[in-house]
Parts: sequence; structure tokens; C-alpha cells
Amino acid sequence: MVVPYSDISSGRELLKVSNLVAGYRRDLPIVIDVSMEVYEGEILTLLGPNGAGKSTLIKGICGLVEVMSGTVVFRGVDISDLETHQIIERRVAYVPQTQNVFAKLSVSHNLDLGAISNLEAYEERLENVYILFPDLWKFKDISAGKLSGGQRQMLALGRALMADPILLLIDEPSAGLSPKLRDQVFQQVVQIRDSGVTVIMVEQNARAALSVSDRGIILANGRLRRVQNAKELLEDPEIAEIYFGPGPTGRVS
Amino acid sequence: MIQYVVDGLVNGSIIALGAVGLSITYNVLRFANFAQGEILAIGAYMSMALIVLMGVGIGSIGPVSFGWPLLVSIAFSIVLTSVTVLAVDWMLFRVLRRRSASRITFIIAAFGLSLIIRNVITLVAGGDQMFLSFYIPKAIPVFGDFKVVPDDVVVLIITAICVVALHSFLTSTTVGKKMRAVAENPVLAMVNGINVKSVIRWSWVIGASLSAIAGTLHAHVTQLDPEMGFELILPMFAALIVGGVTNVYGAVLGGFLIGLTEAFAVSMDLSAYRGAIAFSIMIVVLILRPQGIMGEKERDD
Repeated sequence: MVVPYSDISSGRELLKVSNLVAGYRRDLPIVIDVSMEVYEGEILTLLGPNGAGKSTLIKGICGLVEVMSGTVVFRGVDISDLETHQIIERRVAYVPQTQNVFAKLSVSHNLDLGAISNLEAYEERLENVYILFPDLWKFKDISAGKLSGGQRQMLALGRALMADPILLLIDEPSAGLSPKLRDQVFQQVVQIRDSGVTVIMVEQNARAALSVSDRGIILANGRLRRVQNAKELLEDPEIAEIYFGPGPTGRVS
Repeated sequence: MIQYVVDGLVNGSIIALGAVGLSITYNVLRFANFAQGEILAIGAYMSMALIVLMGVGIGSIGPVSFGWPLLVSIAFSIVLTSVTVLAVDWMLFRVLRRRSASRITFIIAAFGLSLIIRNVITLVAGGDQMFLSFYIPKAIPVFGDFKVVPDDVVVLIITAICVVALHSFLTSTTVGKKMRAVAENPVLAMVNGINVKSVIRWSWVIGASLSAIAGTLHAHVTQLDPEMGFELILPMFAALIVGGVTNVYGAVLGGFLIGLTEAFAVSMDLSAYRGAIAFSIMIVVLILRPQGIMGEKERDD
């Protein structure tokens, strides 16, 4: 089923999800029997209609929802029974879709909190985050609640990078952003990947997201439907009809 | 008049320290802890038990009518009250958290807990008033006509030390920073790698420690009885609301304001109405500034 990884990914398996069932309530699983592999150095995008279980799947990986059965093996260790903070300590980072910054705290304070569980090489990482997101340096002393939507998204990403992750999970980084800002955020995600971080992101903007991704996964009703090279998904007429809407510039639901 | 101000500040100190515990529970655990008054009572009774066990009275230092024995008993009370509160959390609130109970369930459970604690105290210590010592406050002149009761000054100093210590704990220690992060956004705190369960335990310990101090000081300047927690809970809530629930320093400010208001009522010979006057202040603040004097408006972003 799994299509060969793209040329950018190294081909080494970083994460293996097997028969995962997860959700908020035991009697109402949202992710049903999902199995997938994630390879080192790739951007993997999770697509699917609202309620397909995309966000719940990445929350299941980092322990924010209950894993009812199945395993999540990260670098050879089953992390499905661990608590969120223990998973984060293993260098998995997660960026929520909303409320993803501490609004009352300053930008630099937010970044400091990102490093609270891993202070090694703190200065160097902070510098790298400010290089990747120059706006954050400009606004480092103002409170995060005053940032614009795009800047806030950059802070959320920067904060996650402060923990020096190996795997970065991002929930809808382009939500609520203009097409221009969306493209900028996606380019930053590519830069993050190029610096050696493996990325799994959930997206609604299927076309824009796939154009920067190595592979895509399509979920529907909590089940895995397709795992394919991003390029192939972009060219698939069936996918185009369902997810890209009409016309070459069509936006998705 | 000056004596009423001092009385107000002393009473305000106790309300303020208790309200800080209320504020921490509200912001970190997200429920109104109706058993907070009883945590002060536990602190006071633990100190009383140790004073009785030591059998040397409460000592004295110079003009101050209490000395090392009381301070030692406060230290032990801090430990015992913290352990008691952690045990209660483990038996009650932890179970509710695991079942993702609604906020109202937490509040009702806390209310039930307060009844249990009050009756356990009555069962163990009896329903009569108890006194830490036969202390009679005696004002001594400081300069000219200005007189103060030395114990009152010490109570204010202890409160000031507690507030400064709390401030440096919250701003300078890693645990304090984690606690503020959990208070603002628990999920984001978790994904920053913060162990929320450990932060919750720390919150109980900080709240219980301040309550043990406040409860013992209250017992020293007045007396102990099983109803003391019930009598303190309403002024503490008023303080929290006046100062602003989202701001722990607001609870301190609110505590002093409520204490001073009550003392003012007493000075006007309206002591029967002091509770009503404190609540009037609360209503005025709620109308003019619903988030409290130092509180921030809730965001919904």
C-alpha cells in the first residue's frame, strides 16, 4: 500500500502507527484502525474532510487523546501508553491549531517555555528560531496576544522548535491565514524539514499543502483511505475533484 | 481609628493568604474550592495539636506574645496540612479529573468535602472554642500617641514575607513558571513538556502552606472553632472577586480591601453588618469592573 517515499526523505522509518484506535471517549472512537509509517526527513500531510479524524490522529501520537488500542512506535519505542510530557521529552513537538501561544506572556517568554523541558543548547536554538522567524525577534518583548494571525502561527512553530524536536506535528498551520501568509508558513515548514526535522501536518488547503509535501495521507470517517506520493495525489483527477474544487486555483472546503 | 486600620490589615492578611489558595486552585485546577476555608481550619487545628503536644505554650519574643514554639508548630502544620490536602486530592479530585467531571461536579464535591472536614474536626477536637494561648492584645506606644499591638505587626510582617516568597516562587522558579503556563493554557503547557500532574500537586502544596500560616495566625489573634472555615470562606471569595480571579496578586489586594472594609464597618458600630458591607463592595466592583480590580478579561481566541 505504501508508495515509495520521495527523493528527499531518507527512507528510514521514524514513526510507525499500527492499528490505532483513538478518541476522546471510549465509546466513541474517532480514529479507527489506522496504520501508517513516517520516514525521516519527510513532510507528510494528512488530508480529509472535516471530522475525518486528522487532528485526532496527531493528538493520539502525542498522547493528547486516549489511545484505545494499537501502537505508536517512535524510534523503536512504543509511546502509546506514555503521558504527553513524556512523549515531548522524547523530542516530539506538537503545534495546536488554536490557542497555540500563551497570549498573556511575551514572545520571548513563550519561546523560553518551549525549551523548559530541554535546556541544552538553548542559546543556539533561540538564535536559529529568530533567524527563521525574524518577525519574532522584532516583537520579542510584546505579549503574544497582540500578534497578528500570521505572526502568532510563527511563534507557535518557533515555540515548538525550541524543544529541538525530531518529529514535529502541526495542526492546520494555514487556518485563518491569507493565501500569501499561508504560502509563507508552508515555506517555513519546508525550511524546518530541510533543517532535519520530520513533519506531519494536518491541512485543509489540500493543493497548497501537497505542493510542499513529500507524501499525503487521506482519511475519511476515521479510516485511512490513501497513502501516496504528494505529486501523484496532486495529479489524481479523483482527488482533484473531491479536495481541490473546480479550476486550477480552486480552494478546498 | 488607627487601631481599626491595623485590625483591618491583620484580618485582611488572613483573608488575603487564604484567597491566594483559592486563586491558585481556581486558575490551575479550574474550580471554585468551597473547601478552602476548611483547609485554613485544618492548618489551625494542626498547629493547635502540636502546641498541645509540645506542652510549652506558644513562647514569647520581647513584646510579642508568641515565640519559637508557635513558629515551629506553623512549620509542622504546613507539612501536615499539605500532606492532608494531597491525600484529599488523590482520593477525591484526582478521581473527578480522570473522569473529566464538569466544573459544577468539582464545586459540589468541594462543598461536600467542606462539610466532612468540619465534622471530622468536631469529632476529633470537639465543638467548643479553643485557644492557642491566653493572649490578651496589649497596645504599646511606638511614638507619641501612636500605639500598636506588637503581635499585629508580626502578623503583617509574616504576610509580607509570604507574598514576597510567593512572587519570587511564581516568577523565578521553574515550577512557578510551569504553574503559570498551566494556569493560562493546560493543553499548551502539556505540549511544552510540562508534567501537569506534578504542577497540580505543587499548587495544592503552595495553597495549603499559605492556608496553614493564615489559619494559625487567625487562630492566634482570635480562636479556633470548627466553624472557622465556614466563616472565612465568604470573605475569601469576596476578596478573590474584588481583586480579580485571574490574578493571584489581585487576591492579596482584595483580601486587604475586604479586611479594611469589615474593620471600617466595626468602627461605625455596624459590626453585625460587616459581612453585608464587604459584599456590597463586591457588588460595586462587579458592576464597575466585572473582571475585578487586577483581573484580565477572559479572552476567547
